[in-house]
Amino acid sequence: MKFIHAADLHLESPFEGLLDDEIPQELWEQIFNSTFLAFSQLIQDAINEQVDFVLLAGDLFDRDNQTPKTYSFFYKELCKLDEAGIKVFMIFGNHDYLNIASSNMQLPDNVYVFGNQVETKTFNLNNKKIAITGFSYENRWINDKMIDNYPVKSNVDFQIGMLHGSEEHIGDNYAPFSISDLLDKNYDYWALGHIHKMQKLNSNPPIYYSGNIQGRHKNESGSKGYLLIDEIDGKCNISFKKTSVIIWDSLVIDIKNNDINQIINDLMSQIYKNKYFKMHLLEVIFDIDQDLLSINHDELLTKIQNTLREEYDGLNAWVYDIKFNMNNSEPISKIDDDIWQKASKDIFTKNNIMDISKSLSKYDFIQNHLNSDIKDNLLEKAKINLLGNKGNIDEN
Amino acid sequence: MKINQIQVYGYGKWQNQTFNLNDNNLQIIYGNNESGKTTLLSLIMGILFGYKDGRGHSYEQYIPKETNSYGGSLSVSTDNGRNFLVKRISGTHGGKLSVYDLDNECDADSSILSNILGPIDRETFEHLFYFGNLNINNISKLNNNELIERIQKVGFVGSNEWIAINDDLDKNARALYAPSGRKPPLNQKLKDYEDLLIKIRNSKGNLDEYESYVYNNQLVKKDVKDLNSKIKNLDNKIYSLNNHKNNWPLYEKISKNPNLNLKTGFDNNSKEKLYDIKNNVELNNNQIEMINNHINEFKDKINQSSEILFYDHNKNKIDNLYNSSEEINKLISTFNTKKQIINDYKSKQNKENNIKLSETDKNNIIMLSQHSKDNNQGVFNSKLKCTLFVALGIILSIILPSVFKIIGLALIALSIYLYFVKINQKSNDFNQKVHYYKEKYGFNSSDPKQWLIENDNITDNFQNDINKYTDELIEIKKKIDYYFNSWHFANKYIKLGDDYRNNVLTINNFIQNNEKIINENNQLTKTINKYLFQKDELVNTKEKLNDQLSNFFAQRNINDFNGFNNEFNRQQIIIREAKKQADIKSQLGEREIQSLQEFKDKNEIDDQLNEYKNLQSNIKQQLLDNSKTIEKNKLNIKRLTSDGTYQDLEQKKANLETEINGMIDNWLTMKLSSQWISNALNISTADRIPMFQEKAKEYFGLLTNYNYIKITYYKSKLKVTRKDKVQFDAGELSRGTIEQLYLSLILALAVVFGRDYRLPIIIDDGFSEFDFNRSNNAYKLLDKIGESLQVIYVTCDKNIFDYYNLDTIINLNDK
Repeated sequence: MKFIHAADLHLESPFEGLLDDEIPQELWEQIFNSTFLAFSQLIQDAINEQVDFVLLAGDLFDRDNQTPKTYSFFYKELCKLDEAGIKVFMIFGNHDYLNIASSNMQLPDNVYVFGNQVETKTFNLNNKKIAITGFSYENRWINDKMIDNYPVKSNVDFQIGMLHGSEEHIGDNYAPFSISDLLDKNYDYWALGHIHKMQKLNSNPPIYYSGNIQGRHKNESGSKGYLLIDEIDGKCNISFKKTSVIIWDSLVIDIKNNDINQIINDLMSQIYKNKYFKMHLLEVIFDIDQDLLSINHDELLTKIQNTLREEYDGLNAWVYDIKFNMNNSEPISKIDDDIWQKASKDIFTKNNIMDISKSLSKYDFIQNHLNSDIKDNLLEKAKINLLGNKGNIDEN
Repeated sequence: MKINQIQVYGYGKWQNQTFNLNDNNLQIIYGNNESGKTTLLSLIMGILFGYKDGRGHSYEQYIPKETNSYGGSLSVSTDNGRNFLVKRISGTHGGKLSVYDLDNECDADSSILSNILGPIDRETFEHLFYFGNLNINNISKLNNNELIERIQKVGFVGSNEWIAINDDLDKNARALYAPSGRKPPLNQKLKDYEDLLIKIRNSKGNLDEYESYVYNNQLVKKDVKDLNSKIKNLDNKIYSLNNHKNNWPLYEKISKNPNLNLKTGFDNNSKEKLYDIKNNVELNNNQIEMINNHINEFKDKINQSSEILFYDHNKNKIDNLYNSSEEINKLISTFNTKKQIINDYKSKQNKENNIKLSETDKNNIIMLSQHSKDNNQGVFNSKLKCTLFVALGIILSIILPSVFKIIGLALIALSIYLYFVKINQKSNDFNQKVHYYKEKYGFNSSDPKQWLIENDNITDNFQNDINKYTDELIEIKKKIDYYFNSWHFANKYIKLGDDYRNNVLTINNFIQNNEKIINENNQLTKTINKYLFQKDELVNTKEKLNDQLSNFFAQRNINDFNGFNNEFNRQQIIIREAKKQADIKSQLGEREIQSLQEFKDKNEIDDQLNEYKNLQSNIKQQLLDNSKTIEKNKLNIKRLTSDGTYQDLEQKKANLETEINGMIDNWLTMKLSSQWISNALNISTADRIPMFQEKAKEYFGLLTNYNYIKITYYKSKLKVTRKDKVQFDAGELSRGTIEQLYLSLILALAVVFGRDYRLPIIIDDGFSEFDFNRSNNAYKLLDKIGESLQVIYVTCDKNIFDYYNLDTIINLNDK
């Protein structure tokens, strides 16, 4: 038995962390197509590998933002599997939640969508009885321990659990579970969705997040893809297959002087050396010391982007942002560093950040941004800012 | 560290100048404006911390224009009593530094300077140990509250700068975002964002539109499917009707009441049977006729001549006569013989002179006839001898040894040869003698014995014999003649003459001919009888056949052949018609016939056909309309599915969010930095004021003529206690007192830090605004500070000469 486990396709969802005007139009096209291409790759692989079925563990698209283009694309790709006689088992997650009973969503005949209550689908494959258990989110917020509704492995040869959610200790409260909850079910494979990074929670039985198939922001760096499971006599041979078209990455460059042309040369030569095979969206981190704080962030980024604009296609690299990184031990003041550090602890707290930005809290995306762990970044930025400002004050 | 000497190689206005500093800690440097005071102080800090380089920098002004030597050196004593010369000349990264060990008169590692300075860098030095006149002036510009605020944070290194930065940050933050504003960039971006959200919301209806097209298409496609199946159905019906229409003429040929009345016995088998009989009858007649012909033919062949009738009639008589013909033949022979004999006798009588054999010849001839017997005997003897020799030879050749065998064989050969030679000799002799006698006497025969007989007969008496034979001849003649006369009754057929032999032959011929004819006639009669027998059989057959024919007709109740043929032909017509009908039926098929039966006539088919055709063309029109709808829907679906606007807008939204979050980060950084600075200042003040409040109290007392006796810092508030024990908040003090408090605090701070990092305190025209009393108090304070640290006080105040000795003062106006 051979099957594919994928999740979190997030078809058509925008890439985050990019700015409008900088990126060449052709690159935008690539970005727009990336999730589609990655999914097409998966479908083609499924056909080439002649898998028996494909598991899609939720967050396949964004329910609130679904467009005809996505819907039509998704439908057509599933039809290809239908033509190849490959079954698809699907659950919906917190992004593509759906009231299954009242929905008239059209999908090809080979696709089975699990309902909003936990259910088990049983079928025969090569004289073996296979069972797949799962459920689809009815709305964005499923905080219950849905895992408690999963039955213990029934009288079948191979049982798979599909679950879109996160471990209890993560704390984001999406259909929370613990590994022992899963192990208690005695299933042979757990296909998890929700977490965008491929990870193995358990070896035997395998409990896996497949991760998403295309990274969409800098925290989803590296190659993304799906898992190909080749089951022989109950033993699962699991391999990770890359699908991502565009790769988010960071590049650290040490700079020794404040000659912008030299810095750009160093960066370009590093990019040349790296010989990227797929398009890379790069955040360049410049390691600097205090003396070089006079380099202007926006000016340098603009120059880098102007340099890349003609060449990014050949180099497969685009720098979407730069960051200056200072040696952490660099004190703001040699005499008073302990005081500065002590002072920062009261100020760079989530509560304080929220308090300051109260007036911005009506925007979800800002709220999310503030909720994410930005305080260290802000501290680093503030430090650079202060040291830079101090220099400027001296100047004046 | 104490500075003992300043050497200038070239720095600003100063070139190749040496300034020796006092041995005690207090050094006053006096000079008018532009006399080079600040340049000198800049050099000191430049040597210690490096010249600031880079274009546009304020230090550029100090690079001398007339000489190449840039920089200078400081001769310093360390706290542990060592002496070094610290030299810094032009070079990269703040100038080329070198340190010379004055005690040991050798170059020292330049890192010695870092050891001396410890953690104090230029910035910290400027904050802690350097008091420029600007600071004091600035203070004078602050209102009381601001000054108190400043004082409260005086414990923090560089507090003034930090406060300035803080103000800057605050200003910039407000410029970026104002919670209730409209113009700042972040506020504008948020407005853009809300506009974008509306735009996205408006373009979102697309999915519903799309789904409605898809749904509509499904309905129409289902409709199309139905219509297509209807068309197909009608196609089938129309096809059938067209078939019906085509088949109608054929169908019409099917008779409704087929005549199938067929009597038995008139089928082809019967006909064959009849013709069989008929043929047999004809054959039979022919055979009979043929046999009759044969019989007649053979009857004609029978000989009915008068002769044969006569012969047959007189058969017995003839046979009797013929029976004696043998005897007659003998008589005739005897007659002829006797007649010959008589003739012979008569001719012998005519030849009397016949030669008689001489005696000698007669004996020789007897001998010759004898010899022919001996001859045979002699041969036998020779044979015997030869045989004996041969036998002897054989025996010899067997018995004797091989040489003698040859002799034996030779003996055999010799004896055989001799035998044959002897035989030849004897035979030749005899034949020559016979030939001789035959010629001599004209004998016919070659046998000598015959010769002897003929010779003996010559001497007979012939006449007696002739008589006797003549008598006998007459007797025989009588008998013969009688016989021939008996045949007279047949003289019509037998002509007899005198020649007996001819007569006999004539009679024989007559008998033989007629016998032959009789035989032939008998043969013919036999054949005729055979035919007659066959004819009888055929006649029997004929009767049987006639019976069969009669029965055949009787069974079928007809009279004759024509009767049969009439009925037979009538039935054939019926059968042919039936077959034709069956052909039509099979051609049309059972179902087609059933279908056709439902129609009254061809018109009915046509009517239905037209009805269906009309129906079909209506449906086709509907189908066409549906196709158009589908095409339209498809176009719309294609438009919607290829529309990237929404995705584009979503990406724009994400980008805008990134941009806004970036701005928020900047804004937050500024806000937080500001808070950070304030917090750091508060903390440091709270931490450090207790450390130096004793010193500050002392200095404050000194500066106020001991009007105030205590400085306390409590809950971030600075309080002072007057000598009457009344406590004041800083804000309650007079302006002058606040300034003195500030001075006390910053100098106390420098002295306290100076305990750990002993560097000179440099005061650049700090008290120039002070009145006389306060100046005096300030100088007292300098003296006080000078007790523990080197103090370099730079001033343009001439009054300094009233307070200090000239040797304490370096007068730059003199240089």
